[in-house]
Amino acid sequence: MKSWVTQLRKGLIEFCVINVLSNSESYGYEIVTQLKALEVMDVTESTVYPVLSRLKNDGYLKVRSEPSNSGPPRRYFSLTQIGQQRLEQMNAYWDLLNESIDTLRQSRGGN
Amino acid sequence: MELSKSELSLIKSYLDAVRAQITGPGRDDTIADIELHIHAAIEARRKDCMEGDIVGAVLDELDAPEQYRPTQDQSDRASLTIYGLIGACLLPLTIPIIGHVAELTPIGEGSPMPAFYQSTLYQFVLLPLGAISPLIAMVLGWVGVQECRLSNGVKYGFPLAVIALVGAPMICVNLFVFIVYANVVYGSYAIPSLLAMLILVLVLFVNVWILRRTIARAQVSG
Repeated sequence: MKSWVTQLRKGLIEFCVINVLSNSESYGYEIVTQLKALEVMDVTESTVYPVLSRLKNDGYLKVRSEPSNSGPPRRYFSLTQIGQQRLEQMNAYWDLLNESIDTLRQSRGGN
Repeated sequence: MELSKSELSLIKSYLDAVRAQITGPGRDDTIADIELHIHAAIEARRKDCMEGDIVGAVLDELDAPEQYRPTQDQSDRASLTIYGLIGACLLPLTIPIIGHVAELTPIGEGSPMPAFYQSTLYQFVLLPLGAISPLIAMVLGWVGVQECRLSNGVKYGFPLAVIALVGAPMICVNLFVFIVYANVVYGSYAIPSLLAMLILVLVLFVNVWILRRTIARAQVSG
């Protein structure tokens, strides 16, 4: 059970990160804080930052630097055009998956 | 409020420990993001008027550096860049041409192999292959470097791809240096052997420096 949940969470992190950035840009700390609020996801920095880096390398995210009062300049992440397309595809697939699994569970009388 | 030297040193130690766990070209971005995360967390705690060892508390809350180690799943998917490998393997094909050029300098006088350079095998197979292979190696090396940079650690063999990319230009430059060197040392402008040795050591040092710098720069820009 634990392994299944871990795998499921791992697969959903990218989906969650892209959704966090769906409406506005955000910086790493803010993204991690928002995702940590989803207790069911059990997200930490070590899971989020490598995903942010990969999404940027894959061209789904772009980065803008802005000077900060404390420490190095802040890096703001936002979705690129293909990132927006990815968001729409993922959300559409998530809805379809949800609907299909609900239908399956109902037809089997599951709870 | 500025951080003290000891606090900055603590942060650096943590980042170094994380850096040691991460592989792939996305590493520097991830480290930069974690550093920003630490500073943002410190700022947030200060805004909440927290007192005491804030940096220590923030670092304690972060994941252990080992958590950044690639998972078994990622390690299983990792594979060598085939472009970099083929590119690097093509470079030795230039050896017969290098030998030929050496044979044409004063060093090669009395060489036992001049007939080989007149042979059909050399003229029609090894010479064309040796001439074209550096160009192909450069293209494959460039593709290999891009492949590694964009794969986020899934493709390894980055130094191999860099060798394929810069190997051919380095061979050309070294060959030119060698021709000049051979003509100066063994030709009509003889120079002391100690000076000749120093020149060789300098050329070797420059080669290693160029290679190391190219790899480092390519990784940073990744």
